[in-house]
Amino acid sequence: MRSPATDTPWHMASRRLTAHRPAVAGLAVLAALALAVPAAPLLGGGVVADALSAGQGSLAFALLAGLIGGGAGVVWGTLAVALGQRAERAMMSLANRLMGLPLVLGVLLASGLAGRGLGLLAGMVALTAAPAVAVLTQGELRSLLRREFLTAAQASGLSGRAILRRHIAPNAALPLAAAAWTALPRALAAESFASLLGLGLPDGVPSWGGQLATAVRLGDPLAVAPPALLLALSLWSLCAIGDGLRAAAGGRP
Amino acid sequence: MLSFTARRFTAAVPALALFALLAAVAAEATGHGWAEALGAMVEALPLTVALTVPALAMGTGIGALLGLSAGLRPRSLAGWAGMLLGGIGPAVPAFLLAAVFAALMTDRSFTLVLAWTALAVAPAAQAARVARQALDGALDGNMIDGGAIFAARGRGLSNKAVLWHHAVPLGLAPVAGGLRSPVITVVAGAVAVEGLFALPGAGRLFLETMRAGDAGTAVAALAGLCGLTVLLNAAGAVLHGWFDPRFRTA
Repeated sequence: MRSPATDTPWHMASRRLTAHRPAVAGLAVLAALALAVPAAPLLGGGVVADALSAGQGSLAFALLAGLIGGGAGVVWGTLAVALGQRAERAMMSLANRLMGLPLVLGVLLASGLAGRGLGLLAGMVALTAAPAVAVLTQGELRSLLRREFLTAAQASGLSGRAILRRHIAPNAALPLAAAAWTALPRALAAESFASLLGLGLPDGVPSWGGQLATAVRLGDPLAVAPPALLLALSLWSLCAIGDGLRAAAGGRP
Repeated sequence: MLSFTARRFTAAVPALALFALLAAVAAEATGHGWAEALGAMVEALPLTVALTVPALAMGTGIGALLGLSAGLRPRSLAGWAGMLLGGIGPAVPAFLLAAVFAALMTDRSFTLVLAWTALAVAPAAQAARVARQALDGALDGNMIDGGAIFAARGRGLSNKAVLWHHAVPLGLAPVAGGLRSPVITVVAGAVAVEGLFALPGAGRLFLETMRAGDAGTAVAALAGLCGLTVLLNAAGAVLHGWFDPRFRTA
Protein backbone atom coordinates (compact mmCIF):
# COMPACT_ATOMS: atom_id res chain seq x y z
CA MET A 1 0.00 0.00 0.00
CA ARG A 2 1.24 3.43 -0.87
CA SER A 3 1.98 5.65 2.11
CA PRO A 4 -0.05 8.85 2.12
CA ALA A 5 3.12 10.95 2.21
CA THR A 6 3.97 10.07 -1.41
CA ASP A 7 0.56 11.18 -2.67
CA THR A 8 1.50 14.79 -3.25
CA PRO A 9 -0.25 16.54 -6.16
CA TRP A 10 2.99 16.30 -8.14
CA HIS A 11 3.20 12.54 -7.64
CA MET A 12 -0.39 12.16 -8.70
CA ALA A 13 0.20 14.32 -11.76
CA SER A 14 3.27 12.33 -12.78
CA ARG A 15 1.30 9.09 -12.34
CA ARG A 16 -1.41 10.48 -14.62
CA LEU A 17 1.25 11.46 -17.15
CA THR A 18 2.82 8.00 -17.16
CA ALA A 19 -0.65 6.42 -17.40
CA HIS A 20 -1.17 8.31 -20.69
CA ARG A 21 0.37 5.81 -23.09
CA PRO A 22 0.83 8.07 -26.15
CA ALA A 23 2.60 10.61 -23.93
CA VAL A 24 5.04 7.96 -22.69
CA ALA A 25 5.68 6.85 -26.28
CA GLY A 26 6.14 10.48 -27.27
CA LEU A 27 8.64 11.07 -24.47
CA ALA A 28 10.56 7.98 -25.52
CA VAL A 29 10.64 9.07 -29.17
CA LEU A 30 11.69 12.57 -28.25
CA ALA A 31 14.44 11.27 -25.94
CA ALA A 32 15.69 8.98 -28.73
CA LEU A 33 15.71 11.93 -31.15
CA ALA A 34 17.51 14.11 -28.60
CA LEU A 35 20.24 11.45 -28.43
CA ALA A 36 20.36 10.58 -32.14
CA VAL A 37 20.28 14.09 -33.58
CA PRO A 38 23.50 15.38 -31.95
CA ALA A 39 25.19 12.02 -32.66
CA ALA A 40 24.27 12.12 -36.37
CA PRO A 41 27.70 13.35 -37.61
CA LEU A 42 29.24 10.21 -36.08
CA LEU A 43 27.09 8.02 -38.34
CA GLY A 44 28.93 9.18 -41.44
CA GLY A 45 27.09 10.03 -44.65
CA GLY A 46 23.85 8.69 -46.04
CA VAL A 47 20.31 10.04 -46.29
CA VAL A 48 19.31 9.02 -42.76
CA ALA A 49 22.34 10.64 -41.12
CA ASP A 50 21.76 13.77 -43.20
CA ALA A 51 18.11 13.92 -42.13
CA LEU A 52 19.08 13.38 -38.49
CA SER A 53 21.64 16.17 -38.56
CA ALA A 54 19.11 18.49 -40.24
CA GLY A 55 17.00 17.86 -37.15
CA GLN A 56 19.46 19.99 -35.20
CA GLY A 57 18.28 23.11 -36.98
CA SER A 58 14.60 22.23 -36.91
CA LEU A 59 14.40 21.05 -33.31
CA ALA A 60 16.63 23.82 -31.91
CA PHE A 61 14.60 26.45 -33.73
CA ALA A 62 11.29 24.89 -32.62
CA LEU A 63 12.53 24.92 -29.03
CA LEU A 64 13.60 28.57 -29.27
CA ALA A 65 10.49 29.86 -31.04
CA GLY A 66 8.22 27.59 -29.00
CA LEU A 67 9.66 28.89 -25.73
CA ILE A 68 9.23 32.50 -26.87
CA GLY A 69 5.72 31.85 -28.19
CA GLY A 70 4.64 29.79 -25.18
CA GLY A 71 6.07 32.35 -22.76
CA ALA A 72 4.44 35.23 -24.61
CA GLY A 73 1.12 33.40 -24.65
CA VAL A 74 1.24 32.65 -20.92
CA VAL A 75 2.13 36.29 -20.16
CA TRP A 76 -0.67 37.46 -22.48
CA GLY A 77 -3.28 35.25 -20.80
CA THR A 78 -2.07 36.03 -17.28
CA LEU A 79 -2.01 39.78 -17.89
CA ALA A 80 -5.52 39.58 -19.34
CA VAL A 81 -6.78 37.94 -16.14
CA ALA A 82 -4.77 40.29 -13.89
CA LEU A 83 -5.65 43.61 -15.57
CA GLY A 84 -9.38 43.58 -14.95
CA GLN A 85 -12.49 42.82 -16.90
CA ARG A 86 -12.29 45.34 -19.73
CA ALA A 87 -8.66 44.59 -20.54
CA GLU A 88 -9.41 40.89 -20.33
CA ARG A 89 -12.25 41.14 -22.79
CA ALA A 90 -10.20 43.20 -25.24
CA MET A 91 -7.07 41.04 -25.02
CA MET A 92 -8.98 37.79 -25.31
CA SER A 93 -11.10 38.96 -28.20
CA LEU A 94 -7.89 39.93 -30.00
CA ALA A 95 -6.40 36.50 -29.28
CA ASN A 96 -9.58 34.79 -30.47
CA ARG A 97 -9.66 36.80 -33.66
CA LEU A 98 -5.99 36.09 -34.37
CA MET A 99 -6.60 32.38 -33.74
CA GLY A 100 -9.13 32.38 -36.57
CA LEU A 101 -6.59 33.61 -39.14
CA PRO A 102 -3.86 31.67 -40.94
CA LEU A 103 -1.05 33.42 -39.05
CA VAL A 104 1.54 31.07 -40.50
CA LEU A 105 1.12 32.90 -43.82
CA GLY A 106 2.34 36.01 -41.98
CA VAL A 107 5.62 34.16 -41.36
CA LEU A 108 5.98 33.68 -45.12
CA LEU A 109 5.10 37.33 -45.77
CA ALA A 110 7.60 38.63 -43.23
CA SER A 111 10.51 36.52 -44.43
CA GLY A 112 9.57 37.10 -48.06
CA LEU A 113 9.56 40.87 -47.74
CA ALA A 114 12.15 41.49 -45.01
CA GLY A 115 14.65 38.75 -45.82
CA ARG A 116 15.22 35.44 -44.10
CA GLY A 117 16.69 36.45 -40.74
CA LEU A 118 16.72 34.05 -37.80
CA GLY A 119 15.46 36.61 -35.28
CA LEU A 120 12.56 37.79 -37.42
CA LEU A 121 11.57 34.21 -38.20
CA ALA A 122 11.66 33.24 -34.51
CA GLY A 123 9.53 36.25 -33.61
CA MET A 124 6.95 35.59 -36.32
CA VAL A 125 6.74 31.87 -35.56
CA ALA A 126 6.34 32.68 -31.85
CA LEU A 127 3.54 35.06 -32.81
CA THR A 128 1.67 32.28 -34.63
CA ALA A 129 1.70 30.14 -31.49
CA ALA A 130 1.08 32.80 -28.82
CA PRO A 131 -2.69 33.54 -29.26
CA ALA A 132 -3.71 29.90 -28.81
CA VAL A 133 -1.54 29.62 -25.69
CA ALA A 134 -3.05 32.88 -24.37
CA VAL A 135 -6.60 31.55 -24.80
CA LEU A 136 -5.73 28.29 -23.03
CA THR A 137 -3.94 30.18 -20.24
CA GLN A 138 -6.86 32.50 -19.62
CA GLY A 139 -9.30 29.58 -19.55
CA GLU A 140 -7.18 27.63 -17.08
CA LEU A 141 -6.67 30.63 -14.80
CA ARG A 142 -10.37 31.52 -14.88
CA SER A 143 -11.40 28.01 -13.93
CA LEU A 144 -8.74 27.92 -11.20
CA LEU A 145 -9.92 31.21 -9.72
CA ARG A 146 -13.45 29.82 -9.41
CA ARG A 147 -12.31 26.94 -7.20
CA GLU A 148 -13.66 26.72 -3.68
CA PHE A 149 -10.34 26.38 -1.89
CA LEU A 150 -9.47 29.93 -2.93
CA THR A 151 -12.65 31.24 -1.34
CA ALA A 152 -11.76 29.24 1.76
CA ALA A 153 -8.24 30.70 1.78
CA GLN A 154 -9.67 34.20 1.49
CA ALA A 155 -12.17 33.51 4.24
CA SER A 156 -9.38 32.29 6.51
CA GLY A 157 -7.79 35.72 6.22
CA LEU A 158 -4.68 34.93 4.14
CA SER A 159 -3.14 37.92 2.39
CA GLY A 160 -3.41 38.21 -1.37
CA ARG A 161 0.29 37.51 -1.77
CA ALA A 162 0.12 34.37 0.37
CA ILE A 163 -2.85 33.08 -1.63
CA LEU A 164 -0.96 33.75 -4.86
CA ARG A 165 2.19 32.03 -3.62
CA ARG A 166 0.72 29.09 -1.75
CA HIS A 167 -2.48 28.34 -3.63
CA ILE A 168 -2.62 29.87 -7.08
CA ALA A 169 0.99 29.43 -8.27
CA PRO A 170 1.37 25.71 -7.42
CA ASN A 171 -2.04 24.87 -8.86
CA ALA A 172 -1.54 26.92 -12.01
CA ALA A 173 1.98 25.67 -12.81
CA LEU A 174 1.08 22.42 -14.54
CA PRO A 175 -1.97 23.64 -16.51
CA LEU A 176 0.02 26.63 -17.75
CA ALA A 177 2.97 24.40 -18.68
CA ALA A 178 0.54 22.21 -20.63
CA ALA A 179 -0.84 25.31 -22.36
CA ALA A 180 2.64 26.62 -23.20
CA TRP A 181 3.73 23.20 -24.51
CA THR A 182 1.26 23.50 -27.40
CA ALA A 183 3.52 26.21 -28.81
CA LEU A 184 6.30 23.67 -29.51
CA PRO A 185 4.56 21.52 -32.16
CA ARG A 186 3.07 24.67 -33.68
CA ALA A 187 6.52 26.26 -33.94
CA LEU A 188 8.03 23.12 -35.49
CA ALA A 189 5.19 22.87 -38.02
CA ALA A 190 5.33 26.59 -38.88
CA GLU A 191 9.09 26.57 -39.41
CA SER A 192 8.97 23.41 -41.54
CA PHE A 193 6.12 24.87 -43.59
CA ALA A 194 8.08 28.07 -44.24
CA SER A 195 11.35 26.23 -44.97
CA LEU A 196 9.55 23.85 -47.35
CA LEU A 197 8.39 26.85 -49.38
CA GLY A 198 11.88 28.37 -49.32
CA LEU A 199 10.96 31.17 -46.94
CA GLY A 200 12.08 29.68 -43.63
CA LEU A 201 15.46 29.25 -41.98
CA PRO A 202 18.45 30.89 -43.72
CA ASP A 203 20.30 28.79 -46.31
CA GLY A 204 23.20 27.77 -44.07
CA VAL A 205 20.95 26.25 -41.40
CA PRO A 206 19.87 22.70 -42.22
CA SER A 207 16.25 21.85 -41.49
CA TRP A 208 13.75 19.12 -42.33
CA GLY A 209 11.62 21.57 -44.28
CA GLY A 210 14.63 22.63 -46.37
CA GLN A 211 15.57 19.00 -47.04
CA LEU A 212 12.00 18.25 -48.12
CA ALA A 213 12.12 21.23 -50.48
CA THR A 214 15.36 19.95 -52.05
CA ALA A 215 13.97 16.42 -52.41
CA VAL A 216 10.77 17.73 -54.04
CA ARG A 217 12.77 19.88 -56.45
CA LEU A 218 14.81 16.84 -57.49
CA GLY A 219 11.69 14.62 -57.55
CA ASP A 220 13.49 12.05 -55.42
CA PRO A 221 11.06 9.89 -53.36
CA LEU A 222 13.91 8.21 -51.45
CA ALA A 223 15.35 11.50 -50.25
CA VAL A 224 11.91 12.71 -49.17
CA ALA A 225 11.22 9.79 -46.84
CA PRO A 226 13.76 10.32 -43.99
CA PRO A 227 13.06 14.01 -43.26
CA ALA A 228 9.31 13.47 -43.75
CA LEU A 229 9.25 10.55 -41.32
CA LEU A 230 11.40 12.31 -38.73
CA LEU A 231 9.28 15.44 -38.95
CA ALA A 232 6.04 13.44 -38.65
CA LEU A 233 7.45 11.52 -35.68
CA SER A 234 8.57 14.69 -33.88
CA LEU A 235 5.25 16.45 -34.47
CA TRP A 236 3.34 13.42 -33.22
CA SER A 237 5.51 13.07 -30.10
CA LEU A 238 5.24 16.74 -29.22
CA CYS A 239 1.44 16.63 -29.58
CA ALA A 240 1.18 13.37 -27.61
CA ILE A 241 3.25 14.80 -24.75
CA GLY A 242 1.04 17.90 -24.82
CA ASP A 243 -2.06 15.70 -24.48
CA GLY A 244 -0.38 13.83 -21.62
CA LEU A 245 0.48 17.06 -19.83
CA ARG A 246 -3.12 18.22 -20.21
CA ALA A 247 -4.35 14.93 -18.79
CA ALA A 248 -1.85 15.20 -15.93
CA ALA A 249 -2.92 18.76 -15.19
CA GLY A 250 -6.66 18.24 -15.53
CA GLY A 251 -6.86 15.03 -13.59
CA ARG A 252 -8.56 13.27 -16.46
CA PRO A 253 -7.20 9.83 -17.35
CA MET B 1 -31.79 29.42 -38.12
CA LEU B 2 -31.96 31.83 -41.07
CA SER B 3 -31.38 34.88 -38.91
CA PHE B 4 -28.54 33.05 -37.13
CA THR B 5 -26.94 32.35 -40.52
CA ALA B 6 -27.37 35.97 -41.56
CA ARG B 7 -25.91 37.18 -38.24
CA ARG B 8 -22.87 34.94 -38.57
CA PHE B 9 -22.07 36.06 -42.08
CA THR B 10 -22.73 39.74 -41.31
CA ALA B 11 -20.29 39.46 -38.42
CA ALA B 12 -17.62 38.52 -40.99
CA VAL B 13 -18.20 41.65 -43.11
CA PRO B 14 -16.03 44.11 -41.09
CA ALA B 15 -13.09 41.69 -41.22
CA LEU B 16 -13.54 41.25 -44.99
CA ALA B 17 -13.71 45.02 -45.49
CA LEU B 18 -10.57 45.45 -43.39
CA PHE B 19 -8.67 42.88 -45.49
CA ALA B 20 -9.80 44.54 -48.74
CA LEU B 21 -8.75 47.95 -47.40
CA LEU B 22 -5.33 46.67 -46.28
CA ALA B 23 -4.78 45.05 -49.67
CA ALA B 24 -5.77 48.23 -51.50
CA VAL B 25 -3.50 50.40 -49.30
CA ALA B 26 -0.56 48.02 -49.74
CA ALA B 27 -1.08 47.92 -53.51
CA GLU B 28 -1.24 51.72 -53.76
CA ALA B 29 1.81 52.12 -51.48
CA THR B 30 3.92 49.85 -53.68
CA GLY B 31 2.92 51.66 -56.85
CA HIS B 32 0.38 49.19 -58.23
CA GLY B 33 -3.16 50.22 -58.91
CA TRP B 34 -5.37 48.64 -56.24
CA ALA B 35 -7.72 47.42 -58.96
CA GLU B 36 -4.90 45.51 -60.64
CA ALA B 37 -3.75 43.76 -57.43
CA LEU B 38 -7.29 42.89 -56.31
CA GLY B 39 -8.12 41.75 -59.86
CA ALA B 40 -5.20 39.33 -59.87
CA MET B 41 -6.34 38.00 -56.49
CA VAL B 42 -9.98 37.60 -57.56
CA GLU B 43 -8.85 35.77 -60.68
CA ALA B 44 -6.74 33.30 -58.69
CA LEU B 45 -9.06 32.74 -55.74
CA PRO B 46 -11.62 30.36 -57.39
CA LEU B 47 -9.00 27.62 -57.75
CA THR B 48 -8.10 27.95 -54.07
CA VAL B 49 -11.80 27.70 -53.18
CA ALA B 50 -12.05 24.61 -55.41
CA LEU B 51 -9.13 23.07 -53.53
CA THR B 52 -10.09 23.98 -49.97
CA VAL B 53 -13.89 23.62 -49.80
CA PRO B 54 -14.21 20.03 -51.13
CA ALA B 55 -11.17 18.92 -49.12
CA LEU B 56 -12.58 20.44 -45.95
CA ALA B 57 -16.08 19.04 -46.52
CA MET B 58 -14.97 15.54 -47.51
CA GLY B 59 -12.28 15.35 -44.84
CA THR B 60 -14.54 16.52 -42.06
CA GLY B 61 -17.46 14.35 -43.19
CA ILE B 62 -15.47 11.15 -43.53
CA GLY B 63 -13.46 11.86 -40.37
CA ALA B 64 -16.61 12.51 -38.34
CA LEU B 65 -18.25 9.29 -39.56
CA LEU B 66 -15.13 7.26 -38.73
CA GLY B 67 -14.90 8.98 -35.34
CA LEU B 68 -18.54 8.16 -34.58
CA SER B 69 -17.98 4.53 -35.52
CA ALA B 70 -14.88 4.48 -33.32
CA GLY B 71 -17.10 5.61 -30.45
CA LEU B 72 -20.01 3.27 -31.23
CA ARG B 73 -18.27 0.14 -32.53
CA PRO B 74 -14.62 0.33 -31.51
CA ARG B 75 -13.95 -3.22 -32.72
CA SER B 76 -15.23 -2.75 -36.26
CA LEU B 77 -12.99 -1.90 -39.20
CA ALA B 78 -14.36 1.65 -39.42
CA GLY B 79 -13.87 1.98 -35.68
CA TRP B 80 -10.22 0.98 -35.97
CA ALA B 81 -9.79 3.39 -38.88
CA GLY B 82 -11.35 6.18 -36.84
CA MET B 83 -9.07 5.54 -33.87
CA LEU B 84 -6.00 5.29 -36.09
CA LEU B 85 -6.91 8.47 -37.95
CA GLY B 86 -7.52 10.38 -34.71
CA GLY B 87 -4.23 9.09 -33.31
CA ILE B 88 -1.93 9.90 -36.19
CA GLY B 89 -3.58 13.24 -37.01
CA PRO B 90 -0.93 15.60 -35.63
CA ALA B 91 1.82 13.77 -37.51
CA VAL B 92 0.46 14.46 -40.99
CA PRO B 93 -0.02 18.17 -41.60
CA ALA B 94 -1.15 19.09 -45.11
CA PHE B 95 2.19 20.59 -46.18
CA LEU B 96 4.06 17.39 -45.27
CA LEU B 97 1.68 15.19 -47.27
CA ALA B 98 1.85 17.68 -50.14
CA ALA B 99 5.66 17.45 -50.15
CA VAL B 100 5.58 13.64 -50.13
CA PHE B 101 2.97 13.51 -52.92
CA ALA B 102 4.87 16.10 -54.96
CA ALA B 103 8.04 14.00 -54.77
CA LEU B 104 6.18 10.78 -55.62
CA MET B 105 4.10 12.25 -58.44
CA THR B 106 5.35 11.10 -61.81
CA ASP B 107 2.61 12.26 -64.15
CA ARG B 108 0.24 15.15 -63.64
CA SER B 109 -3.07 13.40 -64.34
CA PHE B 110 -3.90 12.88 -60.65
CA THR B 111 -2.79 16.32 -59.44
CA LEU B 112 -6.21 17.42 -58.23
CA VAL B 113 -6.96 14.14 -56.43
CA LEU B 114 -3.58 14.20 -54.69
CA ALA B 115 -4.08 17.84 -53.73
CA TRP B 116 -7.50 17.12 -52.21
CA THR B 117 -6.14 14.08 -50.38
CA ALA B 118 -3.20 16.02 -48.95
CA LEU B 119 -5.56 18.73 -47.71
CA ALA B 120 -8.32 16.43 -46.44
CA VAL B 121 -6.31 14.20 -44.09
CA ALA B 122 -5.72 16.78 -41.34
CA PRO B 123 -9.39 17.86 -41.06
CA ALA B 124 -10.45 14.20 -41.15
CA ALA B 125 -8.11 13.36 -38.28
CA GLN B 126 -9.31 16.29 -36.23
CA ALA B 127 -12.98 15.45 -36.90
CA ALA B 128 -12.45 11.77 -36.02
CA ARG B 129 -10.82 12.69 -32.74
CA VAL B 130 -13.36 15.32 -31.72
CA ALA B 131 -16.41 13.26 -32.77
CA ARG B 132 -15.22 10.24 -30.83
CA GLN B 133 -14.48 12.21 -27.66
CA ALA B 134 -17.80 14.07 -27.83
CA LEU B 135 -19.83 10.92 -28.46
CA ASP B 136 -18.06 9.11 -25.62
CA GLY B 137 -18.73 12.07 -23.36
CA ALA B 138 -22.41 12.25 -24.33
CA LEU B 139 -22.98 8.49 -23.89
CA ASP B 140 -21.10 8.41 -20.58
CA GLY B 141 -23.46 11.08 -19.32
CA ASN B 142 -21.14 13.95 -18.50
CA MET B 143 -22.52 17.10 -16.93
CA ILE B 144 -22.86 19.22 -20.05
CA ASP B 145 -24.14 16.92 -22.77
CA GLY B 146 -25.15 13.83 -20.85
CA GLY B 147 -28.20 15.56 -19.40
CA ALA B 148 -30.02 15.50 -22.73
CA ILE B 149 -29.26 11.79 -23.18
CA PHE B 150 -30.35 11.10 -19.63
CA ALA B 151 -33.61 12.99 -20.15
CA ALA B 152 -34.28 11.24 -23.47
CA ARG B 153 -33.76 7.83 -21.87
CA GLY B 154 -35.94 8.84 -18.96
CA ARG B 155 -38.79 9.58 -21.33
CA GLY B 156 -38.66 6.03 -22.58
CA LEU B 157 -37.14 6.61 -26.03
CA SER B 158 -35.61 3.54 -27.60
CA ASN B 159 -31.84 3.14 -27.59
CA LYS B 160 -31.78 3.66 -31.34
CA ALA B 161 -33.76 6.90 -31.16
CA VAL B 162 -31.57 8.19 -28.33
CA LEU B 163 -28.48 7.38 -30.34
CA TRP B 164 -29.49 8.90 -33.67
CA HIS B 165 -31.58 11.84 -32.48
CA HIS B 166 -29.55 12.91 -29.47
CA ALA B 167 -26.12 11.32 -29.13
CA VAL B 168 -24.99 11.59 -32.77
CA PRO B 169 -25.90 15.31 -33.15
CA LEU B 170 -24.09 15.94 -29.85
CA GLY B 171 -21.09 14.12 -31.27
CA LEU B 172 -21.18 16.11 -34.53
CA ALA B 173 -21.76 19.56 -33.02
CA PRO B 174 -18.24 19.95 -31.57
CA VAL B 175 -16.80 18.84 -34.92
CA ALA B 176 -18.55 21.77 -36.59
CA GLY B 177 -17.72 24.03 -33.64
CA GLY B 178 -14.05 23.11 -33.82
CA LEU B 179 -13.77 23.74 -37.56
CA ARG B 180 -11.61 26.82 -37.04
CA SER B 181 -8.30 25.02 -36.76
CA PRO B 182 -8.92 22.67 -39.72
CA VAL B 183 -9.95 25.70 -41.80
CA ILE B 184 -6.60 27.35 -41.05
CA THR B 185 -4.71 24.12 -41.71
CA VAL B 186 -6.45 23.67 -45.05
CA VAL B 187 -5.97 27.27 -46.22
CA ALA B 188 -2.29 27.26 -45.22
CA GLY B 189 -1.95 23.78 -46.72
CA ALA B 190 -3.48 25.05 -49.97
CA VAL B 191 -0.62 27.55 -50.24
CA ALA B 192 1.88 24.69 -49.94
CA VAL B 193 -0.09 22.49 -52.35
CA GLU B 194 -0.39 25.23 -54.97
CA GLY B 195 3.29 26.09 -54.58
CA LEU B 196 4.52 22.49 -54.85
CA PHE B 197 2.05 21.25 -57.50
CA ALA B 198 2.28 24.49 -59.57
CA LEU B 199 -1.48 25.16 -59.45
CA PRO B 200 -2.34 28.77 -60.34
CA GLY B 201 -4.40 29.72 -57.26
CA ALA B 202 -4.20 32.55 -54.75
CA GLY B 203 -1.58 30.67 -52.70
CA ARG B 204 0.75 30.38 -55.68
CA LEU B 205 0.11 34.01 -56.57
CA PHE B 206 1.11 34.91 -53.01
CA LEU B 207 4.35 32.88 -53.17
CA GLU B 208 5.35 33.95 -56.68
CA THR B 209 4.73 37.66 -56.17
CA MET B 210 6.58 37.58 -52.87
CA ARG B 211 9.58 35.84 -54.41
CA ALA B 212 9.54 38.51 -57.13
CA GLY B 213 9.49 41.21 -54.43
CA ASP B 214 6.05 42.47 -55.47
CA ALA B 215 4.64 43.25 -52.02
CA GLY B 216 1.43 44.88 -53.25
CA THR B 217 0.07 41.84 -55.05
CA ALA B 218 1.39 39.50 -52.33
CA VAL B 219 -0.57 41.37 -49.65
CA ALA B 220 -3.67 41.31 -51.89
CA ALA B 221 -3.34 37.53 -52.30
CA LEU B 222 -2.83 37.14 -48.55
CA ALA B 223 -5.92 39.28 -47.92
CA GLY B 224 -7.90 37.01 -50.26
CA LEU B 225 -6.74 33.92 -48.35
CA CYS B 226 -7.60 35.53 -45.00
CA GLY B 227 -11.04 36.52 -46.34
CA LEU B 228 -11.61 32.93 -47.46
CA THR B 229 -10.65 31.74 -43.97
CA VAL B 230 -13.09 34.14 -42.32
CA LEU B 231 -15.95 33.03 -44.61
CA LEU B 232 -15.20 29.34 -44.02
CA ASN B 233 -15.12 29.99 -40.27
CA ALA B 234 -18.54 31.66 -40.51
CA ALA B 235 -19.86 28.64 -42.43
CA GLY B 236 -18.47 26.37 -39.69
CA ALA B 237 -20.24 28.43 -37.02
CA VAL B 238 -23.53 28.14 -38.94
CA LEU B 239 -23.08 24.37 -39.14
CA HIS B 240 -22.40 24.29 -35.40
CA GLY B 241 -25.66 26.15 -34.76
CA TRP B 242 -27.53 23.71 -36.99
CA PHE B 243 -26.36 20.70 -34.98
CA ASP B 244 -26.58 22.32 -31.56
CA PRO B 245 -29.46 24.79 -31.06
CA ARG B 246 -27.92 26.04 -27.79
CA PHE B 247 -25.16 27.65 -29.81
CA ARG B 248 -27.64 29.72 -31.89
CA THR B 249 -28.49 31.99 -29.00
CA ALA B 250 -24.84 32.60 -28.13
